[in-house]
Amino acid sequence: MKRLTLAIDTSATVSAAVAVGGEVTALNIPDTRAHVEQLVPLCQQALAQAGIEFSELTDVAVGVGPGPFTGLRVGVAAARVIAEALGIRIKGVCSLDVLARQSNFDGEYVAVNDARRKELYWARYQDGVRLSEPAVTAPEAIPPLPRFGPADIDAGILALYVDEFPDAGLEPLYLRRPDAEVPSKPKSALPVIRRRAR
Amino acid sequence: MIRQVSKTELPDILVLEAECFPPGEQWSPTAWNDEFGPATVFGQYADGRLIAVASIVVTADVADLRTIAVTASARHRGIATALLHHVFDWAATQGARRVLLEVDDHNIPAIKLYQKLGFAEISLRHNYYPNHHDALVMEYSLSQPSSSSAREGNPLVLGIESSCDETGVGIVRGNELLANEVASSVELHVRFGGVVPEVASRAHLQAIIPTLRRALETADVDLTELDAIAVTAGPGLMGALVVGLSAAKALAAVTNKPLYGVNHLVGHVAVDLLEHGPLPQPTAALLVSGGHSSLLAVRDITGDITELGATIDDAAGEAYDKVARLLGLAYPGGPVIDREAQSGNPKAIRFPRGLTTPKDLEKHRFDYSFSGLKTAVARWVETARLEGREISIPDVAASFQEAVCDVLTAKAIDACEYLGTEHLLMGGGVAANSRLRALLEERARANGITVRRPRPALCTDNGAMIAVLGAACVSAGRPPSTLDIGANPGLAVQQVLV
Repeated sequence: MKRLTLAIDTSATVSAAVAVGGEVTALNIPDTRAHVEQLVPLCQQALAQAGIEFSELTDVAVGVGPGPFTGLRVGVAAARVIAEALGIRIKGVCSLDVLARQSNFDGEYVAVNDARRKELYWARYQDGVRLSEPAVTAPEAIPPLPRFGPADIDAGILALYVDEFPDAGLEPLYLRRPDAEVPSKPKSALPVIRRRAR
Repeated sequence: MIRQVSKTELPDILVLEAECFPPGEQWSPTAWNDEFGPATVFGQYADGRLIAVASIVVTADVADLRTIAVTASARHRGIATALLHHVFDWAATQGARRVLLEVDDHNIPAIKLYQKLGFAEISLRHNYYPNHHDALVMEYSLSQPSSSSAREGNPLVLGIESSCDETGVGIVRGNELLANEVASSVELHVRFGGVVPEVASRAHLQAIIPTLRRALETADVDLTELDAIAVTAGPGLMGALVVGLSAAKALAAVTNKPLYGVNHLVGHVAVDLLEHGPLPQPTAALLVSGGHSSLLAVRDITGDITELGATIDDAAGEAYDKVARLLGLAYPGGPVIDREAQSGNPKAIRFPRGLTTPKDLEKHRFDYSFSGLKTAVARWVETARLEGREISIPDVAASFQEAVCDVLTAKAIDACEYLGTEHLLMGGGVAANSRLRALLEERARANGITVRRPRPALCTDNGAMIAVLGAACVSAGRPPSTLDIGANPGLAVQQVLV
């Protein structure tokens, strides 16, 4: 039975690909702010170009980041629903692993992508194999190795080599905690003047 | 993928047979082997594995459905329905006009499935099976027009809601509620004293698939049966909205069903269709929740809604949360303050009623403001503490609640008068508040107004309200949304459908 894989990555841009055996149709929209608008139509377009229907898919692969949270969740939510509705396999892959595979660097290097807030997502690789856990830091804190990225993730690579990537689970790799503070004591609501008079 | 199964695949069929039926009810390998003469066997494959099989014999104009089996892990996904439709279409091409089958009268899930497909019971065969159960004989006419419920005005719609901290999936058939599953992340927000958007968004992603599964199971509906998918397109928290929207789009694309991106606020009004049927025109609606406080004029739930007024600062629910916090009470504040207020004196402290002076009413007849009230409570409490007076939390809670409910209800009654309607609907999470309900009932009665209020479980955010609004849009013939719509955190209430 032929493998028909739909791959989705929204950790950076909007990227979708369909692999039919060893042939791949990969599409990318270089927009980092319109994931929810673009993703599903892009998947439909990739399937149409590959000449297959959703119902024929056997596998879904999804990049689980790290990446800006809101866009990342768009891809993971869509991928999980597609797999659920079709009753087919789904695998989550670290998006940096896909990025690292896009390079043709020899030896040790880091794959990096934009984490906004003047930071980068990164991990160390040798020949496409990850040597460190994905991290988010200031660019200065990254080991002095050749850098690949920031770059758009190619979902085509994810679709073609899905079996070769380590399973990263289906929970996004957030790396950062939510911005939330436990509130301190309420501030005084009394006019300042009145407090001085006390 | 559905295709015809050949005899060489008998081993796969036997594995499926053993998985689906207890030993006494299984067909033997010989029985299956012999089946391949007269019968045509169809199978559904996933991952290259046979997950469902059906066998049919066509003799002249009668098709006999001999068996169907679906592997346990693939049930509730519409696989049986899709397979049977495929098989029946094929039988029709072979000249069959009707399909007959026998089913064990104890096998309720199977009987329900056949009924849903349009099979009718035509006779009973006593003591038919080896276990002495009776067999129902059921018939399906292949010449009948497809019995799509949409065409009968009762579309089957699945709705997804994720605008704030509740992940909801609801399923309705027209105005009939079939399932309403909600996963709330409220517990995660307690220590922050309010909804943290990122925390809520992460929780939505974790909850969406389990909630979807539960809803389909509760409603006993397969995805293929749906007439449409509805989803909240706004207003709400951006990060939260896109999780539900992305899920809904994926579902619509995979199942090839129309998508309706609808307005969350209008959903709070529409949900009452499930409880009390069609809305009189016009109806005034008072929506009060943690995120909204508005008065609406509803003339057509799918297309003619205007906002008479709304809060110009905090929502009523937000004021409850803030006052609860300064009184040292738990989050969310609504239920806690309501409880404390039961034993307090609502007239103990005269807190201000926002936007009620004649001058304010000129510009803000139907608007609300709760920010000043919250500050007044804070000042009162702080002053009392500074002066060393003992603070009665029940009195403060009751007096604050009275100020909120007084303004909310007075302006709602005024809105009915303005619209010339005797019908007032209340919705949103704060509609569960006991004082708001009582005061509104009291004032409505005095003015000859009837109040419609959905049960509390339907007042808080849920998927059923989105599903029923979607169903109303389908029935009204509104055009579905395109799959490239975005989420709109500030979606205006006038825009029912995106």
